[in-house]
Amino acid sequence: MPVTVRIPTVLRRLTGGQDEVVATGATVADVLAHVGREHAGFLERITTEDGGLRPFLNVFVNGDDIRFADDLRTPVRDGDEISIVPSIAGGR
Amino acid sequence: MTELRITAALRARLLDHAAGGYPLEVCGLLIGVGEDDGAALRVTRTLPCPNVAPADERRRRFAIEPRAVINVQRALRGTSERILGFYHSHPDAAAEPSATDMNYVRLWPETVWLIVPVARGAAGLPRAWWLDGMDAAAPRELALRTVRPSSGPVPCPDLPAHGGVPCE
Repeated sequence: MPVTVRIPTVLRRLTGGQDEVVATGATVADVLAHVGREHAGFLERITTEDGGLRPFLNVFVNGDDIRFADDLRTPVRDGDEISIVPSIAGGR
Repeated sequence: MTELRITAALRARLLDHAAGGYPLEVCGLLIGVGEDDGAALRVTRTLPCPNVAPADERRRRFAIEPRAVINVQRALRGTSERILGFYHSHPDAAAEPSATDMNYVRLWPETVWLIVPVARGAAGLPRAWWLDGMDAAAPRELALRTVRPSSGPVPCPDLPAHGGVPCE
């Protein structure tokens, strides 16, 4: 099932400069793993050693935050869109 | 990238937001277009967003709900406008990226980080910063130039208020 994955600027060096890639899988984790097989180093920048999402990264499926679904086990369907968004914060 | 262009009206809007939020930090999105073959960016509108940092930290911290970025990106899809970057205020501090800011600037290279200083409630001179890449040693300051409103048409889809993130 092809799913579009939108890549933030900070990770585009790992996808050859592409701002979106197409991958397949039944869950968010599957799709990101597929991207990782195509683009070395990608998965390590997204997930921790125990398979969780790295801090300061947020993942959305069709605009819905996976933290409020089933995290990386959130199912995806043909035509879905996964967006990876780094956290935005700071202060004086 | 060398220059950020903004109209006097939008600049005033940023400063009003920053001063109005004092002593808390305020934040939002900068939306615009590229100009001069990518050498400059022009702000076409600003979108204030709720500061979702913990309430007791908002005098010195800000956070923008990432969902606001997603909502706005989706609204702008297929148009010439895009999210150029973010702005936030520094109450009683300089308009330079702090160590805290830098933790996040490094997650958003090639993105405008505009900072509005606010001294005792009065907004000062904003400054814009840009990190060339995640390996760059430090962000560069962009020239911030006040320009006349563009005469060219800019697609203007409605944007979700506050990025679609409810205010408290």
